[in-house]
Amino acid sequence: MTADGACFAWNPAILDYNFGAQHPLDPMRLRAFLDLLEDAGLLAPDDPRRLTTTLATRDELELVHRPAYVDAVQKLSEGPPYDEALAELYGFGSDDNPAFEGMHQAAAAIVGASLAAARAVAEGACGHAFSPGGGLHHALPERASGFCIYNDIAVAIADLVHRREWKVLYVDFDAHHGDGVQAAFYDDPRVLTFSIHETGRHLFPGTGFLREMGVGAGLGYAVNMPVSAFTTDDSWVEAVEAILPGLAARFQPDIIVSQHGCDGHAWDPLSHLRLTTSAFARAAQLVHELAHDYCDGRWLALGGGGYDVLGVVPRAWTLVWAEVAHQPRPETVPEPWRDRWQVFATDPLPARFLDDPAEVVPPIPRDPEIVDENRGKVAMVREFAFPGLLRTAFPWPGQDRPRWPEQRPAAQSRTERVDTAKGPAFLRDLAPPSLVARLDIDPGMRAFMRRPDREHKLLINIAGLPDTNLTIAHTPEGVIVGHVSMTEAEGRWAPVPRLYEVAIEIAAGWRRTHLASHLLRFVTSADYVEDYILVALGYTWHWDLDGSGLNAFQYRTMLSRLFAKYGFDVQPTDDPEIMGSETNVLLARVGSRVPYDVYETFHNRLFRRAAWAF
Amino acid sequence: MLVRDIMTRKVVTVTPDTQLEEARRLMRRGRFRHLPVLEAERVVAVLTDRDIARVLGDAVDGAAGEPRRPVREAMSGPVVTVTVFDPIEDAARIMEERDIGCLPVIEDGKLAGIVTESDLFHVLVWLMGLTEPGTRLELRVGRLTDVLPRVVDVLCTSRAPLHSFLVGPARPTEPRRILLRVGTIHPAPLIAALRQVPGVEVVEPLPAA
Repeated sequence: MTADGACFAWNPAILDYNFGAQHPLDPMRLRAFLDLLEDAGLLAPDDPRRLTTTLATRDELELVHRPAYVDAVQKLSEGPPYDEALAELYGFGSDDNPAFEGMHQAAAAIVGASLAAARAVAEGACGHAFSPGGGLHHALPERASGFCIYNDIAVAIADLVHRREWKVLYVDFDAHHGDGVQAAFYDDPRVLTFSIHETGRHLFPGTGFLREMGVGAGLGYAVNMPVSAFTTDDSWVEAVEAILPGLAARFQPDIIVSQHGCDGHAWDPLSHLRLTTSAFARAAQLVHELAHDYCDGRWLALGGGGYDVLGVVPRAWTLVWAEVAHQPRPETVPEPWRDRWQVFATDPLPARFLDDPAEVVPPIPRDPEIVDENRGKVAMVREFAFPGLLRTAFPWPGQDRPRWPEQRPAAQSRTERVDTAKGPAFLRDLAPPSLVARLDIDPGMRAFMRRPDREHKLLINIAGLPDTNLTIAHTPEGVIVGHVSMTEAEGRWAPVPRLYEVAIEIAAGWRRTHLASHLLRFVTSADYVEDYILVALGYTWHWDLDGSGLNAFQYRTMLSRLFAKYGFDVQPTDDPEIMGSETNVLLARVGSRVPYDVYETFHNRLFRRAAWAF
Repeated sequence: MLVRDIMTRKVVTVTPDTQLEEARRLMRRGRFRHLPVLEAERVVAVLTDRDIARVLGDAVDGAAGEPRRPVREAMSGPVVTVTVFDPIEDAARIMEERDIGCLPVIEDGKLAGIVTESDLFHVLVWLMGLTEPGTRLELRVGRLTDVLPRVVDVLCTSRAPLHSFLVGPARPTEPRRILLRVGTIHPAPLIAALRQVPGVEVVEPLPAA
């Protein structure tokens, strides 16, 4: 095992996690998967990458679960006759999660494997790890739910947070909302949970709607993308690609934990999604890239749902392991494997790992509407989940933005020298990328990307985009200490012509020097801004409250007063994202030459009364 | 269910002589929007955040140097109240009809609590089973009295926990609906059994509109 290598976390006791013959969660899926790994030449029985794992201890389980619940599981695990009242109280009274003998040991083996995988990554024994038996995302602190007894994901994340104080990005690709993991860290800003799943409208657990965004300090750190029933690969992948990279950039995690439930496959009996293994492979690839971009490669991958036991699960997770192990995607499913397992299957087992959606998914008449529904939701998620500057830096290829040719200022770049308590600074608007690249960046510039080097790259990128206007403040020594960006707005604002989104940043050491005022005055003194509407969206969870020493109310007041001096007014709105926190604020400056009909379009967008009940 | 089962018991109150700035601070700290105004232990009004904004303006912090103004100048009466023994649906109806967000609750002539929109939303969320993970099912049914025994029989035979079972009054232009929330990730067997009941249609998503 090496730091850039991979680990495979497994324990044969996981195969005893079995709710009975008629139950959809059939351990045969894992047997067939392990067999396929061997046949595909991706993991040998004596492979050194295999981790030895043990059962999770009581203390480890109690990182998430209540002692009384663990007691109850242990008691029921002794076997029949079952205490029916106890079973019912803790979620074992239904056909979803019937109590079975030995269930404590089997469930603890799963948690033990996921913990071992997490620790191997945390301690640097390997870069990536896969715990295919894990991913039981529905289990609650004192209740079994949705086939899940112990929540191995929440335990592993809690362990990472406790031992390292790491920031954990959790990504859940299962067809069902990752409710148990979201609930475990709902108020914790060190764990950002992102779940993409079929809307809870017709599917268990009936949660995961857009409005679920976290509470308290964790507000803005739960992100949900509920896709419509019958969503196909292209629309699903588009949503993942439109949200995940920007989310990782905003959050700058220390490790990514991903759940690779494959029950969104078109053949799966438990959801209404119409995905294929091609979408799952792309999702794993993207997580892998982001782990290398932001986390020095630290990545823990887990299994999850998947109820087409032989047709989907073995292929889907073999593709995940190939990604985790830096091996090329296998193409053809070995024939010996198919021969061996075909007798247990009702349909012919597929010959290729990657499905062709055109072959697997029958045509869906409503598809264009579904694509539109999902795009509408992606736009809302992007708006509240990351700041406008990151939306610009991580554009969303799926969206056709109407372009407004008259929008681009044809003005010359201006400069001005201002004197501040920290010394002189030069302001420069319409800054070209070459200039931004030549300058250095102050270590206190980190509001959007959390790290100055990445912030610098972001600004260079922004400066080079068409239809943006980057104004920078730099010292005579050539160090960037602040900026104001005007970027083309997207999503809900895209239909409003002449509308730019404004973002401002001042290096931590340059606050309280009136540099922000100088920058805003300079930007709004350009003649062309009178032709535009400038909008600043203030979301509490995007603010650097620690760096400013202010609470959210004070920050909102400070921001509103600062912008008010340069013609920005607080706009009343029923925007659900803005209304998500009473400290969020929407500020706008309407230029004096903006035509009335444009203003009216803008105003109507403030009150959209959007349907949130997707 | 009665008002006393859902009301908020710990209530912050003010008097007509309390300064408005102080009232606003209490609201912010407690994160609520209504303050009962008490005079000699009797509720004389409810002060809302909008009452305060009307008098003090919308500023986040009051400008320094303005004369201090008491609650008396902002509060509006007379106040509508309910008692602890009123059913919650009556409280909801009063709030809906009069377009108000909060009712003081009276017991023995004294303030015992308040019931707000939020309290009623909590009840609605709970009644619809949303506090439990589950699958939402919607049934369109024929004559309720014909299908109800069979539907109940199917639900009882299935071992899926029933979190919520809601049915409203009939409307002349629409089929009767039953809204269910069942605690299962695997509702297919239950849906199949419900489909067997004559006069029951299970609303499910379809690939075609």
